[in-house]
Amino acid sequence: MKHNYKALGFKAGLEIHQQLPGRKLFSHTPSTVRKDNHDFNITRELRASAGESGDVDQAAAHEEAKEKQFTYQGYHDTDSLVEIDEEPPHGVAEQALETALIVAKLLNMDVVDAVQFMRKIVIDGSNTTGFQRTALVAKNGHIDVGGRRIGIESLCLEEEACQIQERTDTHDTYNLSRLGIPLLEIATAPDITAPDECRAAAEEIGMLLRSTERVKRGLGTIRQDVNVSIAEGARTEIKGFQDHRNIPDVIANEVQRQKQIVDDEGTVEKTVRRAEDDNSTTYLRPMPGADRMYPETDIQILTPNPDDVSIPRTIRERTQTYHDDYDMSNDLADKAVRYELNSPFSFKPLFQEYTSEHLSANNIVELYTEKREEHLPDDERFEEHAELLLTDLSAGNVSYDSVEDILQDIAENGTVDLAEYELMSDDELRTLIQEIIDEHPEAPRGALMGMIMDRSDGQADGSKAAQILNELN
Amino acid sequence: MERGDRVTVITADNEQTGRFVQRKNNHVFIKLDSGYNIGIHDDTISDISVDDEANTTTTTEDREQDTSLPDVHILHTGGTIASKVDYQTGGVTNAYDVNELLSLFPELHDHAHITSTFLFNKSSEDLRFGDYNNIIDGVRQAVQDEPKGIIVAMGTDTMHYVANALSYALEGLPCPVVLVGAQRSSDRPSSDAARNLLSAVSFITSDDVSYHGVALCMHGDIESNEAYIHRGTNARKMHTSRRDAFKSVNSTPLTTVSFDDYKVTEHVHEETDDDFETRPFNTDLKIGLHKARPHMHAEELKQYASYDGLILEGTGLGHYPIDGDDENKAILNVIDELAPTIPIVMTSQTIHGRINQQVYSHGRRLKDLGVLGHGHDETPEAAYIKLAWLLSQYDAKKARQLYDANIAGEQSPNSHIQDYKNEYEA
Repeated sequence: MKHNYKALGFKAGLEIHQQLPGRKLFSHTPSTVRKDNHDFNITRELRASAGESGDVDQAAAHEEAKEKQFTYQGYHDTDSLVEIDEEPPHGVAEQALETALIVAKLLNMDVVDAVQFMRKIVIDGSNTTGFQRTALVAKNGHIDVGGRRIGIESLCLEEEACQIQERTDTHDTYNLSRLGIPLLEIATAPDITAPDECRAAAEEIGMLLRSTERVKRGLGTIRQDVNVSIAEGARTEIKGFQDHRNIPDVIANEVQRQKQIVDDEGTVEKTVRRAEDDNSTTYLRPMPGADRMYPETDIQILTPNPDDVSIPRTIRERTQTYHDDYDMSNDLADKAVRYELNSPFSFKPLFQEYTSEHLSANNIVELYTEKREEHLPDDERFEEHAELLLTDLSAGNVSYDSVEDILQDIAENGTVDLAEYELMSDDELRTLIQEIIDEHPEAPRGALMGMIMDRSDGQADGSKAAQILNELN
Repeated sequence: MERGDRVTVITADNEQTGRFVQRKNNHVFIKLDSGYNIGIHDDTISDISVDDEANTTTTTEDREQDTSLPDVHILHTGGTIASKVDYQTGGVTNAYDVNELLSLFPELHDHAHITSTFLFNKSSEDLRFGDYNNIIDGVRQAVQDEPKGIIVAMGTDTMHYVANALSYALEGLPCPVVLVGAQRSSDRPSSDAARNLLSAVSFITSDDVSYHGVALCMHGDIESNEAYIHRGTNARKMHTSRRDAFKSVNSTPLTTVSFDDYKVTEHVHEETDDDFETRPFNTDLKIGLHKARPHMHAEELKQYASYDGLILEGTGLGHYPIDGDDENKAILNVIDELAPTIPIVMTSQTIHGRINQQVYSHGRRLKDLGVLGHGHDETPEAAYIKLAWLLSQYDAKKARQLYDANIAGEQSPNSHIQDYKNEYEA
């Protein structure tokens, strides 16, 4: 579906939630989401208290009207008394705060002088306390996407909520293990003017987050919410994107939905909607009013020094460096950096030690990523042989053409004798070629090359053989 | 600049608008429109402008109470049971006014006609006997209006001391007096305050209850199932933070109140026709509470010579380190010197179980010196209050004689299996 987004007065903003590893933000249990059988159940109810004007917040009232019971399925290792709201929070996880500062710098933000955790009232049961602990860490940042500047309004450090397991009219069941995992919430300004730009902005922020090497990876560890509106419509928050690549299609469908209501002379309500698998959106709940927050006095006010952290090189910068310094293809440079992000490993020392006229940086990355992936995935035996193999490849003793056979050999036999793959000396090769020419004086050149490679059993360097054949024939 | 004023804080490279919250540790804290509080360092601030627009405060119309319902009077003494949040500034205040309290807990309208008195606002750990006397006097005055019952709302830390104190000081009570607190302050959606308060009101107003005594009402579990009504002399705070921190020690609760229907599960009938009389505490008393432990020294016990009474928190069945070493023998000597001059009561740091000073020689020797407590199952805290109250009413000799009497239901002749349960169930 194509729309003239400019004419429609389209505006969008992103809210990105990224889980952090280590311990829980306010307890010493691990930040692990459990899927296996739970150890205990706790059943609770929550109440919405009236605000200062006697009004109960709109979204809060919506939940209270349900008069629900909440059952929390907990695990003895990931859930302590803190997670079931039976003990005050422990001090903030330093590692998570540091990560927040690093991300603030990557997003060109101003870190606030004093960070105060707040209690944000959330009574849908997803927090056992009835509030989410959240702190504004930085403001006023920006990223550049496709030559346009997108403002970053806020970076918050907060607690992850419980994960819903089952919802009925009277009873919700939650998995407790996720509660308290440190979460970064990054909110852009409503500066996004096209669906593709929204996706690009999400990708840019995702790339910056991964660049820190201090964020959780994998399904469900990063979530994008999109706020969209058109001039005659209303702000809609779309949650639950399974894949950021679907963002443009979901936005197009939501804009179509709002246009349809406007065309039918209806009024678009401010709502929270869920992105579905078919890229449509469905109603979740009314848009909450202004967040109701008050200070979390159980946690000390923090005065972080942003100068204590240094800005890491971004994935893009690292890719560019590999491309520039080692004459590497963009594709392989990207693969190399991704590989590094998933392991405590750097290619740079290997490039410095082993690149030669016989072995390129491209070869090394290909060997570690594609070829290894094909023959020896997750196999420690690769590491046992890697150093000798690289030494021989670099010196020209073994041809890079042989690496697949060598890896296969390790996979099948558990070990390899690299001597078997050593190239013939020029003299040996010359003797072999002369023999073949003498045996087949009438054979065409192509047939001779085939016989040479066949008889040399992988120990002849192809280009060297062709050169000698030219000289002798 | 007042809390809640709308301000703009100007710094070299920025300006931020929000509501002023406080100045603290060289920072100005403001609440942004997003709801977040941030701190701005004094050194970076070039100017703060205050917007004079009047703060809009809306008032709600109070709902009329049903005067045909039983009267329940609430005495406020502090704590977090009536905490409410002002979301404009994020400040937490206490709702002592009846209408404010009813807007916090509108369910009260269905159970009782509520009146209240503000006595004081203190952390319970700060209370002294003078404060106890204020509460006692508050009850005395409230009783004159013949309510169905009285609730004392307070901080939980020392609630069990107060429950004991009121149990002794309020003789011939014509109605129940129930102490209520919250382990999660009432500004939190997960607070236990409303359920504890409603349970106390339900206990008081129940047709199945006629209890002329002091009780303590708090959560019975960490879920939303039921509240326990503990006898005032038997409750003890046994956990720093859990909702079900209070347990009946060496006994079981009087009854429970289900959160499903706010009905009591066991009928309670303990009435008295005695004349109501208040017998307050002597605020000049000095009562010691000392804990036995390995490698202790006689010197520290000597200070109690200037005290009016002393509770010993012994080990096991009621023992102190009094033999096997010269320093230990010196401890025995000090106790020997103190015992004739001030009442000394043995209790146990095991909390659970009964004192028996006949079983081992250490116990027998202390008993022979005149140390009281043999056969008792009161906690050290309960014994502390009992001795203090006795010494407030009587001279030391009479107090010693009366220590073995069961005055306010504090003693049980037998210990039962269900009085002590382990907590390791899955």
